[in-house]
Amino acid sequence: MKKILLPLMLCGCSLTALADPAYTIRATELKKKPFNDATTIMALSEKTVVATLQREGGWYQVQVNDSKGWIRMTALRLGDGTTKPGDSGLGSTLQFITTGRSGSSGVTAATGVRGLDAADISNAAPDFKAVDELEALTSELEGASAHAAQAKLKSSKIDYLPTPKSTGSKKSSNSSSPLPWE
Amino acid sequence: MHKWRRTILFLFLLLTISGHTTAASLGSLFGGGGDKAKMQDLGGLLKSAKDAFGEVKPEEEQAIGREAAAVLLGAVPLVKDKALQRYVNQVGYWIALQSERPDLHWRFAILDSEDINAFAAPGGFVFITKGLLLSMTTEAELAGVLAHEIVHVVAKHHLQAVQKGARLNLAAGLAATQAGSVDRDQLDKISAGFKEIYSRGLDKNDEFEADRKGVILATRAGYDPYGLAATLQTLGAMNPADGSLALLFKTHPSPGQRLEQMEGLFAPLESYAQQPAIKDRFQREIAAAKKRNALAAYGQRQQMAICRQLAMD
Repeated sequence: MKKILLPLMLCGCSLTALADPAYTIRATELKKKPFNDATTIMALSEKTVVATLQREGGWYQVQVNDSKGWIRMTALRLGDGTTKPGDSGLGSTLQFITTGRSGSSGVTAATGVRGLDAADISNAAPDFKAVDELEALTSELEGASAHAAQAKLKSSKIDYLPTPKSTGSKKSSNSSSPLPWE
Repeated sequence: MHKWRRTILFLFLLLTISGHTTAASLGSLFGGGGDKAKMQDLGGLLKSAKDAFGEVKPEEEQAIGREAAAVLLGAVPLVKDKALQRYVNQVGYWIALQSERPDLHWRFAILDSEDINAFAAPGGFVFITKGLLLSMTTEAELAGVLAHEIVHVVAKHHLQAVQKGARLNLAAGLAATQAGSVDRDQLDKISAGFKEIYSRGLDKNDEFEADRKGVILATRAGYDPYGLAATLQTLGAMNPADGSLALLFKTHPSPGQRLEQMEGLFAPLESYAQQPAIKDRFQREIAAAKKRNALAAYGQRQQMAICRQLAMD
């Protein structure tokens, strides 16, 4: 019985992933393979709705009508593009499958499950016993490099990229001066 | 008058730095009897300026982080599953080793909440909720989120926010702790500062910085650079009205905005695009933890407990 259960569970996961709708946020191309220089199957206009099949790096394999191909992640947003508060579109149906509750506000309230909110944090009594528990849980960090090597992860030296101009520098946007007399 | 005030303050600053005088002796230096009270007042202002921007020593940072972690753990318990906690720690620590502060006392933990969120606390604490972990499909996604939080710690975003927001003298509070006489009043102020930051969120530029540098950290660690972006895609597709997203969406820019800000990162990382996302190991770990009933929702766990009870009766 147990042997059957695990593949079934995994299968369930991949099936929900299969159904994820997405839409293009700009005109883009459906490629035969997940590479920039791969053959273009067709041009897609902005706001084309597609079904995502899987992700590979910065590419999503999608189905558009009868064609299967790859779209750059940066040209795509997951979701049906119509999800709004209280909306029961495709997006919230999917959510029901993955989290066991509907995204529509009515059902969320009805299940009595709600998120961690600001009040929970404001009213929290600091729990130092739990911090000690955490320390005990995390005393085996030496294995991290071996754990990485096991999955064939190789580290590289890569510099951070400069702050793009559009976000603006934090210092210049900060109007309150650190000097109290100014 | 304004100019004069400024000159006095500047002189005062110079003298204080060189350690030649105190507020009281400065008052007599200028000989203005009636100005003595004002001088002390100005001294207080200056002290707060120095405190707000004073460097916090590593051991102080760790003690402050403990306060912050205790606040979070007071609101949400840990997932009681040693194997899964260990897995997240190994993934997280490997990424932290690629950062500018590999020697911090790094600790990673899964919080037992359906809520979708992740947190960092000074000194090397990183938290991810069970809800967020379960929304992921690969280790690269986990790596991306942990890397984002690691950047908050490395760049001391929370420390700076709490110092700035509350004008707290963090170092003074901790100095008292080390001297053996715990100044609970100071520590309570630190807790209150963190409650405020966790409820209200950091500056959005801190979040964008954590995204940008987090992508680089995860890539340095050998992961598929698109892990964090994939998680943001998933979050962006969820219903924003869902209660489990409320705090995350209140305290962070929208997933769409964050994806937009990240776009320019990926072209320079093209040569790393083939790095592994590690789906198998991630799904194996999650499946095993589910089998141990470590990740079930609270209601489900109760139901199972009742079923077990009924089966035994």
